[in-house]
Amino acid sequence: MLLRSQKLFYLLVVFVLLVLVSAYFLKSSNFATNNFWFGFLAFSLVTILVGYYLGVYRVFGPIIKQVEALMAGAEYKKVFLNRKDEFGLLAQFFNYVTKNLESVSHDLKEGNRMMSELDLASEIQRSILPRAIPMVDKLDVAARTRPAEEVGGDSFGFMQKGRQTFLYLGDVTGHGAPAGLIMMMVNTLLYVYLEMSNDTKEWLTKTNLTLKPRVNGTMFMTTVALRWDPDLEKMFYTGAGHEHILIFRAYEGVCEAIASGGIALGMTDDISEIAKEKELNLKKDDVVVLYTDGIPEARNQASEMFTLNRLKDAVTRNGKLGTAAQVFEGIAKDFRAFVGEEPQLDDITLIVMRYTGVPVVEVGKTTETSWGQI
Amino acid sequence: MAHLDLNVMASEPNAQHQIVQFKGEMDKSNLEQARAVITKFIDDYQLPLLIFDLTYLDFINSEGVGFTVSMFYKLRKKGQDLKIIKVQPKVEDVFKLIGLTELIKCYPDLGSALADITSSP
Repeated sequence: MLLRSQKLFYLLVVFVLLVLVSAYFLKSSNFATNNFWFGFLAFSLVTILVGYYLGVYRVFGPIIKQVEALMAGAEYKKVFLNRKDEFGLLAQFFNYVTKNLESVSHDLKEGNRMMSELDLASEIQRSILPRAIPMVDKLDVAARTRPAEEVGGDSFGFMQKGRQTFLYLGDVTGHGAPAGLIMMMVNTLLYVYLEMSNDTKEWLTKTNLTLKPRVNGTMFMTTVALRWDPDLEKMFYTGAGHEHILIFRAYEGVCEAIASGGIALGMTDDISEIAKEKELNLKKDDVVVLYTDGIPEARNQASEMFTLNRLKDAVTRNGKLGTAAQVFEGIAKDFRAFVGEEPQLDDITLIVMRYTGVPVVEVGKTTETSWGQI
Repeated sequence: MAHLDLNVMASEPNAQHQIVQFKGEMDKSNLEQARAVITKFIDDYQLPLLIFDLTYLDFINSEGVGFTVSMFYKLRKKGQDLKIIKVQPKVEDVFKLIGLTELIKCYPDLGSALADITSSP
């Protein structure tokens, strides 16, 4: 198929040939004066210019004008050319590309809008996580969390009920916005049901009962709840499918891993038969470490996982460093050394509690919970 | 991306169950693919019992467990049952940790899974 510009080119070639042949024959005739040759040349050139104007410039101009406007970032319009040749095709192509550009621009705007909404969600979530932990009577506590994305699935809370401190650490399956929504729901339920609960088993059972019908089967939250009674100096726990509770036995210098037991919240309707509150037998200077699976499942450059065993080793190595904050920093350093520069794929939370037996005198003093760079 | 193969084993004529064998690792990186395949399979599944054979499943994370739970509920909704057999110790640790074994029964072999009639929906 000949394109319009090709047709025009061939026409011009034929025209030039005709001019040359005519000139050749006219050269031998007598009437070919200088004036005639001037007129002949002028006619030929004007015909070529008119042909170019009609065939190329007039049709191509509107497209080029809009392309220039587009390139300059100025306002451009759709090009309407009612033609079935390559110029018509070019105009259609221009319209198609600019339409896609508008769509990309819309997507970008939408992306920006979603990002600011995610930022807002992240801010709301951060606001429900404790920015700082209140001092807990006879315990020295350090706790930090860092989500893998804007919104995370890890959460924890320290709540006072009378003289007792209730605390929980939870990890929703996966991470990101869906996990964050479940996490916020559970956090709220836990605050609500604390008033109606006397122990950690009751606390988690009631929370689960409300949570289960509101989540689909894929999402659940592994949780461990602790109750610290400073008068009895005893700590109790109930597991809901969470990771182990690690205890650094200060006297023996070993790290013990206790399966927290139970079933994750949101997995089944009634966990009352499964959940049990048990006592953690602690001696002074023992350190209790709670964590989420983002820590043992973190991988290094060789794709090896940090694993529970490495975490236990880190707790054993650092358990005697002194304050909870120092023990925390020691474990975090070991973790950082292992994962190196690998990106964080899951939310991570680590809570370190040292049983000091020393009553809190600095009322109102708090410790920060945001986990900085790893 | 972790590698995971799913193999639907041919069942004997008149059998009341079918076995899906998992091979490899199940985590976030391949979960969506596995979910698409298994969900479609379960939607069309008619027998009263489905068995997940995890002999060759080397790793599972909490999202993989979440997926298993959702498949369990999907079957229960249709009046069918899910049982898990031949779980490797590492995977069983994760199941026990999260409490999956309280919900879905795990058996050492096919014979014991078929012999136990207590867990029907």
